[in-house]
Amino acid sequence: MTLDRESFERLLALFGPDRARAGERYEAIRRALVKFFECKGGRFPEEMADETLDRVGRRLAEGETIRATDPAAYVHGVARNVLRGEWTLQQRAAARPAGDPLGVPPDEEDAARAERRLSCLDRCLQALPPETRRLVLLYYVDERRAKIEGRRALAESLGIGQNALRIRMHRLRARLESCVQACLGETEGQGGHTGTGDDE
Amino acid sequence: MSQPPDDGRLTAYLLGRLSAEEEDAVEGEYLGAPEALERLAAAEDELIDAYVAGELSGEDARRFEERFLASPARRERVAFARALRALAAREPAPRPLSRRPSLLLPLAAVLPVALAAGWLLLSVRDLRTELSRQREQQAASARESANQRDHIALLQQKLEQGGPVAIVETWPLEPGYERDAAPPTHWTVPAEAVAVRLRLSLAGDAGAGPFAARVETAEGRVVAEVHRLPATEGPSVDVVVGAAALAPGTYVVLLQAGRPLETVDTYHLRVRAP
Repeated sequence: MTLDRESFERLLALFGPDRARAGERYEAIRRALVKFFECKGGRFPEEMADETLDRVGRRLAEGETIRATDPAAYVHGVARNVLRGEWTLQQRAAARPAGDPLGVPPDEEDAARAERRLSCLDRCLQALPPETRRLVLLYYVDERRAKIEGRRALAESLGIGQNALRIRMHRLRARLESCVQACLGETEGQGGHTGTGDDE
Repeated sequence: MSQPPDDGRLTAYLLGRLSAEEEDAVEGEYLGAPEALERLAAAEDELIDAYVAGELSGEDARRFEERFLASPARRERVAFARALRALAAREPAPRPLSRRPSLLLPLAAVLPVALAAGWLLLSVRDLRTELSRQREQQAASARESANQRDHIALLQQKLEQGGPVAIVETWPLEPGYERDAAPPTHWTVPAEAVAVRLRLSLAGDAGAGPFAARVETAEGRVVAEVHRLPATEGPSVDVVVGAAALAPGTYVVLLQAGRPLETVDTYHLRVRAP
């Protein structure tokens, strides 16, 4: 994202007078914007999140006044505009009928890659501390009835509520997903990175 | 599908079943509060699991496929859920986690006075748990603030020099285990970048931090050293390094933790000329 000094200053000021806290809010809202664009079918959620914040900064530098009491509401409005622009571009580029803007590839993964993924997941799980590994396996027990009752018992045994357990498991899962992606990148000889990185 | 107790609305949002006004409300919540974003992400995990388990109705499955299979990142998550399910089914049932000793049962067998005492004990325990949780949150927040201060200070310093700037480039890096299996990725620092955020993916046993990171050239010259780094969602650790420090060449990033500092992981990267 590219911003001049004034735009950047205005953007930070939007998130509060304390620069450290403003920085935290900036990062938090950027993460939320990435999710927003992902949920809305944006092709490049990270770039669209940056574009949104870029536009907000520029508008502020141009003297626009924000009437919303919560800056997130203002950012939300700008994000919707960015999204509309993206949809227009998608429709022009693909000229697909409305209602099927992106097309849906079949939900299949070739057997070899699925096997590599499984092997990577196994390896990532083995790298977890034993109690954590057991927690994952207990949480994701296959049979549905056992799963529902098991999760209730798990939360109880950990002394936390079921929602807290779900959040804890989400964090663990994110960690595992990240590990599996790295492992797949290695086994397939790819960096698996975006941005300016590229492989030899 | 099995509906989580409070996420019917979030699931409906993820499947595009809400009205425009309801969508706006959900988005307003997670754009305004990181906790709401985390709840949405957890609901997304469960929705993906329900799809993989064949628990979604025909209409919901169709909506899911439209929304999740069209995005490469989300397809990866679906494939991950499938692998997790396969592995959980394959593994022998693990023994249950050790249960916390319950104060309630023994107390139920004694006199009402003891019950009252038991209630007090439970209240104290709950308060202690809450206090401990609050302290952990405060500590995490302090670490995050320190990191952000470094980040903002760096950007500020660069902005003082004037002119347009790219705030940061983010380079995700994986730990160096089995690094010989594949060459490290080459990265290029864009000419307009003032800083690069090295996003160090944490291995399972890396601990909770706080971390320190040292960026060295292949010859061992230290080009950047940052302390008080918190782990963030992913989990990963972000290290912001001035772009000028990353001249073309090979670098090793040492992620350290503990007191005295010990290296918990290493990362490799190569920077080449734009």
